[in-house]
Amino acid sequence: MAGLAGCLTTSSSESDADSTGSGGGDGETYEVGYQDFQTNIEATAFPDMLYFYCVQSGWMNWPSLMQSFEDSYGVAVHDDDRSSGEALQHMRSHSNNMTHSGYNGGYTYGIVARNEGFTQAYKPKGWDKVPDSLKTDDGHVTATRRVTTAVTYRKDIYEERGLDEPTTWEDLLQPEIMQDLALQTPQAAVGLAAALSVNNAHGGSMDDLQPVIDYYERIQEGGAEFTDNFLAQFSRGEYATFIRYDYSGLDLKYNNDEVAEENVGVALLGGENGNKGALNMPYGYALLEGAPNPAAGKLFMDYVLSLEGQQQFLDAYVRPIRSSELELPDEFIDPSEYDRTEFQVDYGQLVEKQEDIIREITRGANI
Amino acid sequence: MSDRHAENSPHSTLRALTARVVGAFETVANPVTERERESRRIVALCAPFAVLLLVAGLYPLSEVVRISVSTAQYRSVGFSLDAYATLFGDPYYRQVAFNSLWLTTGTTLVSVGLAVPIAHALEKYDLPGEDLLVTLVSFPISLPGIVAAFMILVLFGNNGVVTALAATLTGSRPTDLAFAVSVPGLFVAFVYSMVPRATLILRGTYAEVDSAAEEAAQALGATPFETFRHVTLPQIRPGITGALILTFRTGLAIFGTLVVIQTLVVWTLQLSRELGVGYDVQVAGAMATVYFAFTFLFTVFGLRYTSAEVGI
Repeated sequence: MAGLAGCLTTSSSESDADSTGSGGGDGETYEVGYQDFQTNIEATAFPDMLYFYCVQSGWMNWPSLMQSFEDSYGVAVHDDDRSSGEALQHMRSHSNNMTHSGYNGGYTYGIVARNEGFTQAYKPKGWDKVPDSLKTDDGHVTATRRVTTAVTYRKDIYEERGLDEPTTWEDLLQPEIMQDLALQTPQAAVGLAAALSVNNAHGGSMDDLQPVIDYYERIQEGGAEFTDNFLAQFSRGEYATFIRYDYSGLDLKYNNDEVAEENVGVALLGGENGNKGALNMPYGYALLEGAPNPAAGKLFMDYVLSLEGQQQFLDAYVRPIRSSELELPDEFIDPSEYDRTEFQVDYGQLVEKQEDIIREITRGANI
Repeated sequence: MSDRHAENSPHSTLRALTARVVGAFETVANPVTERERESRRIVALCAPFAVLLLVAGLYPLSEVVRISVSTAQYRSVGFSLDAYATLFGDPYYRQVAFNSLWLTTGTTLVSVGLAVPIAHALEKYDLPGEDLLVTLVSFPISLPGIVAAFMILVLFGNNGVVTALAATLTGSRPTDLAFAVSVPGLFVAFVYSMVPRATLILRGTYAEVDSAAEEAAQALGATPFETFRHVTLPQIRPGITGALILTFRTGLAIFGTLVVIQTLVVWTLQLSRELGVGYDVQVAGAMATVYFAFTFLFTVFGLRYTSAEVGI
């Protein structure tokens, strides 16, 4: 693993290495990094195109971030249409010849990349604002935004049945809710987050999964269904409740014409006895070992973690990691609800154990 | 191996075999007699399939077997039977195999049972709009399993058409009647995909039935059912066996339906899960190998009991 060496890289391609301060023309100098990682970088070292895994149009408002970054610094960001898993595969096959400067995607995949030695330490400006459980101490992987397990339900159908908004996982055990509830199996990341949320709410841990196994058996008896495709069925009323992320629920509520806005509710759930029941699944980034453009990569990372960058996640209902410093729009779930329910786990441990966890839950609850 | 050559050393057997193969090649290259020309035509006609078998069949299959005994995740190196030990040692996989077998057996019997009268009606009578009927019956063959599953949802789901109708008639709640996402729902979805295949085979069989014998039986006073029982059935039995084999294999291979209706973990679904989180490619390879060996042997043994034209 790389230690703290190599974090003070400045431009390597330019011959005039002694140009500190502002040069002429576009020779702008920017200060990036947090504490030990603070460094000055030269605009002259910037590439025309920055390659950063999974920064792509089409989700989480990246297009707007990419555009505003380019407007500010003149560096275009490549539209990298990959999933986190695909990025990891690509890294493995280019391990001696890194094509991308950074990784951005599922936080746990970032941890895997770190464990396999693909990342290097870099703490961007604002690193101290990120909760400790959502970054690695060594500065290799830092979360920039998070999605949280939430329940999305049809308000109109709930009203018909005389049901209140659910606030705990226990509430979902009402027969009137269980009968047409949909969720995903733990094989999918979103399903794993749901399972760990239920488990935590009932006093379980990664080593004790019996609570969620019992819970899943109960809801299956009550008519709940495990399926991967339920958005269409939800708008048709096939399912009145589904468990996914806050982001997916809010997106459906405000950006989907098939079902009226006022008919969709999104709620975070806790446990009966004050236990937390809404797991954060963070997304984050890492600077890669052997990055072709470390300077531009660092600048981009700083921009994403700046309040200006963070605000743009919020515009798409994705909760930025620094949401506490921002004005949450009214459409968002009330911050006090997050305080009541959300929790994190040791994500490094989750990476190691997830296979066993998935196996135990699916076999135990016969999913 | 015939036992007459048991006293021959394997070496001389090999030499004889080589000579035979070389001889065969020469015959094909320079045919002299009409018979040799005929074998050359046969070789020429079979060549495309032989190439396909090699490139798209045996090569990928050997790779799958190779992966199943590999000791590394992304490269095929070393040799280990761990994956097979997991497969045969872990009771969970026995349960998955059992799920596959009983579901497929049940749906096969029902599908072929339904296909016999359908094929009978299509072949025996001049039905109005017969072409349309044939199209309708064979149409699900071209549907992916995932679509079949959605059709079952639309019909029997929580707010499915049939569910709503039944709820209105009986006065009970739709969610109590809906069975799309349950084992019965999966059963219906399987049958829906399998009936057309069974029907197609049986139609061909019925076309060959000797109707003179049936007419003779009727003339001698046999009821329609007696005629079917004693005259028609013996003639279509090979077709039924063939339909059973093919439909059973179809049922084992269904996957898309299970993605939507995940109420029973069968072999194909478990195989895809092995390739998900954790990417246990060795176990997946072993499952594919066992699957292939099973269907191959099943077909070989099945064919011994029928003269029907069913390919391996």
